[in-house]
Amino acid sequence: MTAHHEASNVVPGESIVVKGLTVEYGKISALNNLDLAFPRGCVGLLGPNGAGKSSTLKAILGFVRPVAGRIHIFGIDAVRKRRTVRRRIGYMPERDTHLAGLTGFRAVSLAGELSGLPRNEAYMRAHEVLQYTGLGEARYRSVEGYSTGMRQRVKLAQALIHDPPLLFLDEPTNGLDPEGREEMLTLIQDLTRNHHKDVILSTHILHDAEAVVDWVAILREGRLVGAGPIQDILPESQPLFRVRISGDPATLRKTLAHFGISGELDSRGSGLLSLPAGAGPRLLFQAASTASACIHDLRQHRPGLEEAFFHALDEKTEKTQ
Amino acid sequence: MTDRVPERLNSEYRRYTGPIRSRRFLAWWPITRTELTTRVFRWRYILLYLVAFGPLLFREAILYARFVIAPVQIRLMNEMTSSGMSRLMLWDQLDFYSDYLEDRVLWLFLLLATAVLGVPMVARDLRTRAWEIYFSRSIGRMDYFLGKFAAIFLVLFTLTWGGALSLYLSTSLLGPDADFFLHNLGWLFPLTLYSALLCGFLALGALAFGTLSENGLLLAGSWLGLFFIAFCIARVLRWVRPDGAFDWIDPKYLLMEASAAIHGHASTSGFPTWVSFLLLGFLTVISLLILAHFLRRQKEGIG
Repeated sequence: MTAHHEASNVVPGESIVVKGLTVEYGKISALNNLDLAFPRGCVGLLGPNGAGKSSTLKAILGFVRPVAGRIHIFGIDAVRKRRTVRRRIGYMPERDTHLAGLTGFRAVSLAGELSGLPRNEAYMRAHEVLQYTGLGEARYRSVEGYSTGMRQRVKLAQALIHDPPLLFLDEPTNGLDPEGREEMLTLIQDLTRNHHKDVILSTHILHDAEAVVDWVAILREGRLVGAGPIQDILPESQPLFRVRISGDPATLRKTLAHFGISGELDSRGSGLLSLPAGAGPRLLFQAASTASACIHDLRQHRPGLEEAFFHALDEKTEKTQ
Repeated sequence: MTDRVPERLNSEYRRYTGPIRSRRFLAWWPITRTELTTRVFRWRYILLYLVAFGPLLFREAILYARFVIAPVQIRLMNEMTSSGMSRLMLWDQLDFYSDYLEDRVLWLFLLLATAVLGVPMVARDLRTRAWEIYFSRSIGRMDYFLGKFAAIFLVLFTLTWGGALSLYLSTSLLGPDADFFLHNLGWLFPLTLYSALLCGFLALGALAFGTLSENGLLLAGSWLGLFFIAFCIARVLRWVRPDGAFDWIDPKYLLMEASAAIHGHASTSGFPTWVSFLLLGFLTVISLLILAHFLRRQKEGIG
């Protein structure tokens, strides 16, 4: 699997600009004055259930009319020109949606025709995208007989049939086994990195987001609580190590401080230590040797997006309090 | 149909450089075509279609016998048989063709076709959440319903209006009067109007009914049950009021009354004609309101 975050692929410019977006369902407010500009590339839309991710997508796709606010997709007013905008969007729904009784080929070609492709072009294109998504052999089988992973691929093929510049992928790895998940992430990565598709990835599986997205927006209770390039959210500058050391605690504390190593150790000598930027585990061994201590366990700790995500939520909560 | 695999195919992603139509008058047509080709024309429904063609074949046989095989014997039979049978011989009157549209077997087909083909159309999409795929495309919600409506309507209309037209053409070709076709061309208008009313009403009703649940089988059964209950109630009330003042409860009578008004023949029901059109209009409005409610509900349910 190559789907690991390497370097920022955020392309200059914005694919979607949302200003003052407010969406309400009756008396329930789903989005509250949301301001957000999605950069080009692969963008992750994160947040717990009920945060407003789906409502944001619904509003952008034109499924719901916002109470207030404006949405521009590639400069086009998405509220007023819904059909024009949808031609530029490929949508992969979250839930198990399929056209019953149709073969994979028929389901994808119909999606193409509905997107404005002439019939013959839709047929040709359906063959291509089904091959691309790995369903070439199964294209004439009924969608109802497909496995979960195959249905996810059909949905991706339907989203790609009209070759839109922008893809909305709502929980694309839902229900997939680890292998299927890796394959799906590889496809997404290929589309963004090699074919310059802009992707909005709505997910609650932070590992997926971490693997493919370049920029994230974190929502909570209909508000934006954090947004930015993923490397800004992932604190990678200081290496972290989870250790278990035996030795005199007082000497150990002094020595670690002397070597510029910060962090707290519990009574058993276990804890998370932060090394100076650019330092490696060798420094820890030097410090342990100086303090006449013994390292029993040493593991590099890579703070995930999940930690950053909850950190952002906690910070927001503290500010509001 | 181009099911063949294109030569240029490989597993690489390719950009699409072909045309994309922006404004499309017939944006709903792919939905209709898909419904017709993949769900309506199936071998499992062959018995249903054979039933549907029964009344037409029966009348065609009568015409053939009347004009080609034994004109004299048929004429004698015509004079001797009861009024019900003799009406079938009146090929030179509009009633012969409008009777076809009111045939009980054809009515049974219309009910079964709407129950088996029409009602589950939207229910199936609800179950599989297929409308998320439809509505995320560059088509409107009306296009979705038009596509589904057209699929049901075309099946019903082909059998009703197509059958009546076929009888009219057969009479023109086989009959003794060469000018029959041109002289009675005006009959096609009421036949078309009533066929459209009959099929449109049933198709719209079936479509609206289909939005009420995800369980297509349950809905189909309920749809047939509604008509059966209405039929039974009307029959029971016939004993109470033999003049047929409550016949409007039975949708078949409701449509027959409309047929009588459109074709200009005598009413067989005991209620005024305007009641028929008023109720048909009312039921149409109810169907449209159900569809509108469905749309509102889906707007808030997506995603």
